[in-house]
Parts: sequence; structure tokens; C-alpha cells
Amino acid sequence: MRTVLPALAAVASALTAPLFLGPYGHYLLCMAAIYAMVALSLGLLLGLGGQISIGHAGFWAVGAYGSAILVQKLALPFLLSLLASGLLAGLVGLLVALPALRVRGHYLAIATLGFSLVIVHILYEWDGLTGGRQGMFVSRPSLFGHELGSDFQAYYLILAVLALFVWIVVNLRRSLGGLSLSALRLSDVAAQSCGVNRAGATLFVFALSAAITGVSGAFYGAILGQLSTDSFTLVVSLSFLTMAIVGGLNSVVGALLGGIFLAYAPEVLRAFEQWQMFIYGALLVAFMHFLPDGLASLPRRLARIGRRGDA
Amino acid sequence: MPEALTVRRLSLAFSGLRAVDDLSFEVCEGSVCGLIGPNGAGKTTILNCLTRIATPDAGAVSVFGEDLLARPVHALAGLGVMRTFQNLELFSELTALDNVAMGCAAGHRAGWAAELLGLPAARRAREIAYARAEETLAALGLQAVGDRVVADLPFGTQKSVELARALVARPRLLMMDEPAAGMNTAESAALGRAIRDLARERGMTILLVEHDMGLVMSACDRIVVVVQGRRIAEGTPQEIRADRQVIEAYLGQAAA
Repeated sequence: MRTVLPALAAVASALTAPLFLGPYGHYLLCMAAIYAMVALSLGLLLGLGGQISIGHAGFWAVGAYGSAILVQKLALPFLLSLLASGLLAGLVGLLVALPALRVRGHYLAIATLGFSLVIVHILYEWDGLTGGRQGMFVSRPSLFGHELGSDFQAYYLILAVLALFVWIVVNLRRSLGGLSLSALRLSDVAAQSCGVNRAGATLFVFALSAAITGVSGAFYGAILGQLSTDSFTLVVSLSFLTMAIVGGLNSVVGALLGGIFLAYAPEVLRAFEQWQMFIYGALLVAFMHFLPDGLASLPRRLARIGRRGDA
Repeated sequence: MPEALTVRRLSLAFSGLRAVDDLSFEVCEGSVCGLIGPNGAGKTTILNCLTRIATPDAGAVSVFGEDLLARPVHALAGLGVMRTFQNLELFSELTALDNVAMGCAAGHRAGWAAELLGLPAARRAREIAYARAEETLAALGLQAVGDRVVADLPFGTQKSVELARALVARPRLLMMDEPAAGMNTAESAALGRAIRDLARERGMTILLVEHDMGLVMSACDRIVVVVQGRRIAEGTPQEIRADRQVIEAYLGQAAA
């Protein structure tokens, strides 16, 4: 009951929130759900698998451009392009995971960063396909031939896909495969001695994380209506990490809070525009130090402090 | 009796230092073999070669007739080979029950796809693994600590949890790296009886790397003595106790 009631309340408010908001509010809700997918994928990779990536903007770009190109140039239905962009980003994720089989920590961080810079550079130079410096227009999301013209309509499609991702991540975290990923993170020698195939598990978690981020990217392009490579910089990868850690890496709730954080923080911080990255950095350090499990662990923390106060 | 483990001319050098030097021995199925030697004799390195954590420069290892060196480290559990570690390699943030379930998780898993979709096969696999883990914890008298995070448990209990993680897989060959370290005499005597029972009642083959001479002499059928990566003696506990070379190289120091 303790987890069912808050979950029901969260679902109810996610479903009804748009009724009380205007178009700009709908846009922000879409962005929160899109970011939440990325936070979910980083929780999987970093929280469960213990593998760092500061190149997730690269997977996001692969999904965004992949879907846009398939819809624009090949007239693929949007839903199919979502699937394709997830597969494509997942495939690229497999490639990026290859260095993760050999290196970890700082070295892996640099490898993933290098990958995202290369991807964005390729997209920038590939004029004919991506529009290069001018960027490209992207059609609105559509569902079985019906264009979702407003963000109000698109939001419910994004929410449905987010729910699907939440469902598979929860399933994975509860399974022996999720346990194996945790084991690998905590002692890869012991996990392998227990029969865990390290290479297989690492490739899998990278590919899955990249695929989820790719689908998120596809939605991002379609909601924004245009793409340029400026949307996929290192700063974006770092904001992704910040939101995932601020929300909390080890739970689905954390990912959802992270998505809300990244969508609404620029609104709150608008007055401090130049200081935004500085504030993100400070938040990142503060959270890792004082609240390593993110906002999602706040109720538990407060409850403990409350109990200590009673005693 | 057939051989569970055969080691032939195993060698491994680290930048010129011969950690394992032309080592050969075998362990019969259902027996307890002790691997002893002074500090730095290369015992843990030998164990790491036998569990594919280290790769030897030369030599052959077979387990129940299978060529071990042709297989990756994660295939050993499937061959029935499990081990414990000298300095504990537990999954520190997980509970004792999670740790033990991990010992038999790989053998039960339904595959990534079934796990992502939460298929009944994946749920059943998890239930079976956790039921076996609970059973194994209970058999070692550890049922009370099942839901505790292992990092919070006392060292001795952590060692038992690690043993449970190896036993839950019902291994045919169990390799233990200094299981008695940090134990008092009574605890190590109990451990010795437990090891003998595993071999006698379950037919488990056990390779025991150990410093505690009382435990080695009472629990082992045969003992291999290693100094500087070389085998200097092999025999029953009585033979080893009487071996002049062993006394000089090893027991002599301990007795002095």
C-alpha cells in the first residue's frame, strides 16, 4: 500500500496535469517526459550497471536525426521511426560499449565523450542528409496517420512510451539479470565467478540505455519541430548526468523527478542564464556529497531524521 | 577414483618473477586437497589460474575431463566450479540473500528479453534462485541475516555468506582461499568438520588453500606443498608432516 498509493497519485497527476495548463505548460510537460526517458536510461547504465557515459547527447542525436530523416526522406510513419531510432541508437550503443569492455571510470567517460563529439560532427558535416549548419525541419509526431498537432496530444503519446520504458526498467531491476548487473558493478571478479558474462551484460546495458535515449531523441526533434547540432553538445550530456543524479539513479521515481527537474530548472533559472551550467555543476557536487541517492531518497531521509528527532 | 582436477606443468611469470613454476598435481573426485606454502609461495596465483582469473603462460588444466583454459571465467560456474576469495569479494551493497542468490542466478536465468518483459519464466527463475538461497542460508544457520546488507555484517558472518554463495550452486569442485583466516580454534575446527562433510556426504571435491595447519592436517586427504611456485612435496597429512624438505621450508618456520 505504501508504494501503491503514491504511484497512483503520480499517474493521476501525470494524466490530468495538462488539463490545468496552457500550450507552454504542455510543451514543458512533453520535455519533462522526454528528459525522464534519458534519466531512466542513465539510471540503468550508471546506477545499475556502474558504467559512466558523458556521451548520451550523442545517442540522443542519433535518435533525433534518425527518426527525422526516416520520416522526412523515406516517409516512414512516426511510430515506426520511433522503433527504428531506438534500434539504431542501440546499435551505436553496442559500438560505444566496446571500449567499456576494456576500460572504465575516467577512461570510459572520455571514450563516450569522444564518441558523442564524433557523432555530432558527422551529423554537422553530412549536409545532404541533415541540413548541416542550417539544420532540418521535423514533422510533428503522428499516430496511425493522424498528426498530433498540439503538444497536448503529443504529451499522451510520449507519456505512454515513457510508461512502457518504466515498465521494462522495473521488470529488469526486479529480475536475476538486474541482480547480475548490480553484482557486476560491485565486484566483477565475483560476478564472473558466479557465471555472469561480463562482456555480454555490458554490451546489453549500454545498448538498452542508448536505445531508450534514442527514442527520447526522436520525440525531442518532433516536439521541437527542427533540429540543429547545437542541441547535442557536451553541455547537454552533462545536464543529463546532472538531472539523473539530482533525481536519483537507483529508482524510477528518481528518473521521473530528474526529468521534471531538467524541464523546469531553466524556467526557474532564467534570470541567471549565464550561470546555469555553474548552478548545475554546484548541484551535481552537492547532491553527490549530501544526497547521493537524489531527490527520490528525500522522503526516506526525512523520515529517518524525524525518527531521530522523536527519540 | 577419477580425477576432478588435473594440473599439468602450469607456469606463470610476472615480469620475470616465476609465480607458478612447472606445477603439476591432481585432485581425486570427492576428496579434499590442501594447497599449502609460506607467504608469497604463489598459492592465490595458482588458484586464480585454476579459476581463469589469471591466465598461465604455459601448462594445462582440466576439470572433470574438460579443458579449463579453453573457457572464459564465467563458464566455470556451469562446469560446477565455484570458489571463495581470500579477501572476500561480496557484493557489498546487496543483502546477504541477494549475494547468495547470485551464486545460482546464472544457471536459472530466463534471458534478457524475458526479464525485460517480466515474463513468468523470468519471475519463476527469480523465485527458484531465492528459494535456494534461503535454503542454503538456513543450512548454515544464517537465516536471521538474510535481509541485512552484507557490508554491515561482522567479518566472520561475511565469510559464511561467501561460502553460502559458492555452495548454493551445488558445485562439484569447490576452491576455498584461506577460509579459516581470522577464525579462532573452535571455529576452524567446526569449519574442518563442515569441509569433511561436504566431501563425504555430497561427494564434493575441495581444493583448500590455507595457512591454518590444524585445519589442513585434519580436513585434507592429500596435501600439495608449494614454495616459490614449485611443488616441493605431495602426500597424505602424515607424509607431509614427516617430510624433511617441508619441515625446513615451511613447517619449521611456523614451529619456531
